[in-house]
Amino acid sequence: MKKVLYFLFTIWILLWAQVVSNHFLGGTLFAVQWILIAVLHFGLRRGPWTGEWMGFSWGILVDSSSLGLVGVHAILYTLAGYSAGMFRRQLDASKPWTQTIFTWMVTLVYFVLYLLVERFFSINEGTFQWACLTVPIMNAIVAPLVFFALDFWADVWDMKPIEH
Amino acid sequence: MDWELYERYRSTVLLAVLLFVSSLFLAFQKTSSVQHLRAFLVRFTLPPQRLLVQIKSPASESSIPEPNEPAADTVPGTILDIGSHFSGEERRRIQILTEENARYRDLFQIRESKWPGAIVAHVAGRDPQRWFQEIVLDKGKEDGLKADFPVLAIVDGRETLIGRILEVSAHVSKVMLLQDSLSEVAATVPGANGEDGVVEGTNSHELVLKFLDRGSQVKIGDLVVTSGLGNAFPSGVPIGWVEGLEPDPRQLFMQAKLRPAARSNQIRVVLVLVL
Repeated sequence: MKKVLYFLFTIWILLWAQVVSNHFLGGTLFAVQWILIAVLHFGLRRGPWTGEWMGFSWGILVDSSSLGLVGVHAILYTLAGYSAGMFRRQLDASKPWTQTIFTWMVTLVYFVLYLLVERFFSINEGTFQWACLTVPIMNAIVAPLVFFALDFWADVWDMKPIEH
Repeated sequence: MDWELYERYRSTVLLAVLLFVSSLFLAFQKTSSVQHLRAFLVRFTLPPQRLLVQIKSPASESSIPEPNEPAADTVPGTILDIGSHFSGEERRRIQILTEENARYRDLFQIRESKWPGAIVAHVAGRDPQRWFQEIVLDKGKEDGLKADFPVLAIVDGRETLIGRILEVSAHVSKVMLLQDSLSEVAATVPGANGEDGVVEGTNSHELVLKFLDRGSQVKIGDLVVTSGLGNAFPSGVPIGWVEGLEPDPRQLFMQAKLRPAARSNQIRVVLVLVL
């Protein structure tokens, strides 16, 4: 029960954080994808199984609240969670530099895939916003902070990472 | 043996299942089941979006003044007289409320005088990835909204067209802004022999008025309004001002770049016309 509550609260809080962040920073050079970083955290700390589930849950909620296609974020966040989980043995995720560089690379891949999926499925012409170019950098900068905060949050709940 | 195999590959199997489910959502976007799922899940994110809108626009519907009520800043001896008794923070808050008050007064005056049946709605959210294309309103089917209803904003005491309702669910609706490249509005330039054209979006701040004659009398600074052709929008509603003129890529017509009368990132409250 505690585990379920922990995951539900985490999903809820990050979702709110993303909504608030989008409201104030969306479309600017300082936009951050808190949820994507959190998905990577869960993938790296708890393995692909948890990473995928968290990615899918957040993705479907983001898709529902945004005005774009339903399923785009679900696919991309699921893939992000899976790939983070698969790389967890090759990476020392406790190092801030590892978190920064890995987040930067995944965000770049995320944007390429996002544009591809959007182009393939959307009836609208894709609009590339130049402000998006700074998102990988901003994500990379705040990644250690998010990792630290989520580790702290897990400690508060006494939820030690268990690998799946 | 089978269990070991499952343990080994269960993440990959889960990945395949989740990707398959997501692809189904993508492929069947417009079906009612996906739309119902979306309407259900959006309840989890709408509360923070509404809260943020209320924080930015402190006046709620219950505090909206009636059109005939004088606003606080028009009553002698209110703000100017007591302003000195307030701290800087309080004065800023009063200033915000005063502006908000004026905006609502304009909106209600226009509604009363021109479109008594129009519905007032607030912008509940927008997607950064589709900033120039769509906004979400906090009113839906149960409030009387339907697809294709025109949406107006009030700028400097005057109504201006910003788009039309694209999709409606029970409590929220999606508006396609004029800036969307799929948006087309029949328009005219009243000051230039009533020349007609079509205003299209560009997925950016600008709009384009297409299909003007090569000998067009349209000039920079002219106001472009809806022509009412096709009955999709009422006639005479301002859309924007001409900022530049150039031949279209095929050199058959002239086209005008327009500056929209309402900047899409300043819209907080709108009027939805019931046709």
